[in-house]
Amino acid sequence: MTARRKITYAVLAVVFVTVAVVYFVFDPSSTRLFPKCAFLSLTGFKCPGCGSQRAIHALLHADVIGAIRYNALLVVVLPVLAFVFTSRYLRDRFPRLYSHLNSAIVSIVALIIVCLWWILRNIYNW
Amino acid sequence: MNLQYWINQNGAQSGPYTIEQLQGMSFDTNNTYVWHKGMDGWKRIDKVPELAGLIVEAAPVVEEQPAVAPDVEEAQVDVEEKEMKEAEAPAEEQVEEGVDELADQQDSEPVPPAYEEPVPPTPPMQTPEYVQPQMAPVQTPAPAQTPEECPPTNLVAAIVCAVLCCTPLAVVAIVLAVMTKNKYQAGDYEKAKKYSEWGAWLCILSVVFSILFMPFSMIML
Repeated sequence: MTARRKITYAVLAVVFVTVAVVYFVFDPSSTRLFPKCAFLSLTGFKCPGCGSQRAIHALLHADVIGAIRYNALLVVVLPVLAFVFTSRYLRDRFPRLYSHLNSAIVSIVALIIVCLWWILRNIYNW
Repeated sequence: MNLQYWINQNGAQSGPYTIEQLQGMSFDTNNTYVWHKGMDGWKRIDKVPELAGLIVEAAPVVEEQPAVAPDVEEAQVDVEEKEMKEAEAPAEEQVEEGVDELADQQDSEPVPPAYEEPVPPTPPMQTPEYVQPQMAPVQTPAPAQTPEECPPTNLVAAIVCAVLCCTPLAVVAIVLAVMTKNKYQAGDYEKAKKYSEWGAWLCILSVVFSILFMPFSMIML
């Protein structure tokens, strides 16, 4: 069980690093190889995630303002996600924190934020 | 109450057992931990009220007493072995039943928690007072929570998909995360589990969809 877990973590780490290197080296706005947004190309409207590949590229080059211009939600959400994700592994030590972060309110707030972002960015062309 | 118990003795995990099966077994109090469904983590066997009555101290010292009446001792060993075999036969059936149940319920929930065993690596010679397991912080919130574990809401995965995979499916997955939590708080564990699984599948589906769309987008656009 634990050995399998270790392998899983190792594989995840390798994938993570590879993806980071690819997004660091190649610029998604000038390279055709990166996947395009299906929702944008089918409907013409931006989805909540549009621009996040370019934003990641900018973030990896320490260009936070550029990243915010491409996809502000991603920049805001990344640290929060990292926090929520680690809380799961610190669950034994901070069980209260874990249950707060996994409450229904947090999910509802996340849903509202994503939907608002989705609508507003299409209105104001963010 | 048809609870099934998992036993962790000196770091070796076994189970599930019913309470009747546990009555035929002997345990070393200091190094045996117990978990059953609904418990927040492993507990030392003497801290589990319903099992506290059947603790038998496994005392290796007794066996070392040499040859008072070797025949009698051998006979006792025979009897013990027979008992062990008898106890093992139904145990195996139970295990199989347990496995079937697990398969029915999706492999996520009723297996004992994957915590590292709380068994401290101290030698068994220590006094029992010293071996206080580090479970105290985990147990404090336990009474406030409902007994069943909440199925994973997949909220993190859903948001990652919404922000990275460009698929509105992921937004539905967030909705499912909310519904999972609501159903769980309403006490409807079955529905909560179902929504949790749907949410996970939607996240997978959104990833698959965007991967499938990749070559299409490269040719067409």
